[in-house]
Amino acid sequence: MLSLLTDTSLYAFDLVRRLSEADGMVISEGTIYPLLSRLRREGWVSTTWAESVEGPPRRYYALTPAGERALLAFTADWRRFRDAVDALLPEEAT
Amino acid sequence: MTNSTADRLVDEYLTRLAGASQALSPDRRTELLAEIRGHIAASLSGAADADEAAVRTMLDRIGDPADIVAAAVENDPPEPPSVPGTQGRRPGISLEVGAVVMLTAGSLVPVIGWLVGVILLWSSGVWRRSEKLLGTLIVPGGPGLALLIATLPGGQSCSSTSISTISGQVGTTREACTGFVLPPALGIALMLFVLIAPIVVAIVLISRARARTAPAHP
Repeated sequence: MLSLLTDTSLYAFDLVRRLSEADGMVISEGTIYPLLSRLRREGWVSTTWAESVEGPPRRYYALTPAGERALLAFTADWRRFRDAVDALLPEEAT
Repeated sequence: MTNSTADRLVDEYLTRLAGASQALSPDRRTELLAEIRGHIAASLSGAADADEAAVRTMLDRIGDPADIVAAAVENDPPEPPSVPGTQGRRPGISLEVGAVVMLTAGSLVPVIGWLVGVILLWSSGVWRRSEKLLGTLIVPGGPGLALLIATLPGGQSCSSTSISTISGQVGTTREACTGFVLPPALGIALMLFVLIAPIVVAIVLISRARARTAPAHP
C-alpha cells in the first residue's frame, strides 16, 4: 500500500481499487480502510481533503518521510526474505 | 439512478456494518462507517445505472462487514501501554540527559556547570561506577574549561634582564621564562581530544542509559 503512494498522492477510493486489483492480493476492499487509518495514526501517510467535481470532498493520501523510511526498510527486509526463500526452495524441489 | 432496491441493499449493508462495528471505539467506528459510506458513494457515482446486480457486486467487493470490523480491531493501536501502572513505572532518563548536558555544554559556565553535571552523574542509578568515573575524568572541568584555558592570553611569559658593563656595552642578556609551551601539533591534538572525547563519552553514557531504561522493568 505504501509503495502505491511513492510518487503521488491518491484518492482513497482509487487507492483501494488498485490494491484490490493487484494480482495475487485477494482482499476485500473494506478491510483496506482500517489499514489506511492505522498508517495515518502511525504518521506514515498524511491526508488532505479536496473538493471533487462530483460528490462529497475526497480524502487524498500521501507518504510522509516516516512512511518513506518504513517503505525502504520493508523493501529491504522483503527482498532479503524473498532471496532466503528462493535459495531454499530449489533444494527442496529437486 | 436512485433505484429503490439498490438503496435498500446499501442500507442493509450499512446497518450490518454498524451492528458489527459496535466493538470498536466510538471514534474508530464513526470513521470506519464514514469511509465505507464514502467508498459506496464513489463506486455508485462511477456507474450510470446502479442495478441490483451491480450493487451486489460492489458490496461483495467491499467485503463482509464482520471481516472489515475484524481488520479494524486488528489494526487498532494496542491499548496496553496506557494501562495504569506500566505508564507510571516507566523510568525516564531526564536526569541522565541533564547530567550529560551539564558535563558538556554546561561546562561553559566555568567549574560550576561541570560540577553540577558531576553531581547529577553520580546521583543517577543507571550508570555503573566505571562509567561514572569515565564521565568524571574525561575531562575534569569539561570541554568548556579547556576552551576557556586555551583562549587565555599567552601560555608562556618571559622576562629579559640586561646586565650592562661599565663601558656601556651590553654584556649578557638573561632571559627567564615561566610556564611551558607545547609543540603546536601536540597542542592541537590535545585540544581536539579535550573537546571531542567528552562528547564521545556523553554519547556512550546516554546510549547506555537509554538501553537500560528501554525495557519495561528498570
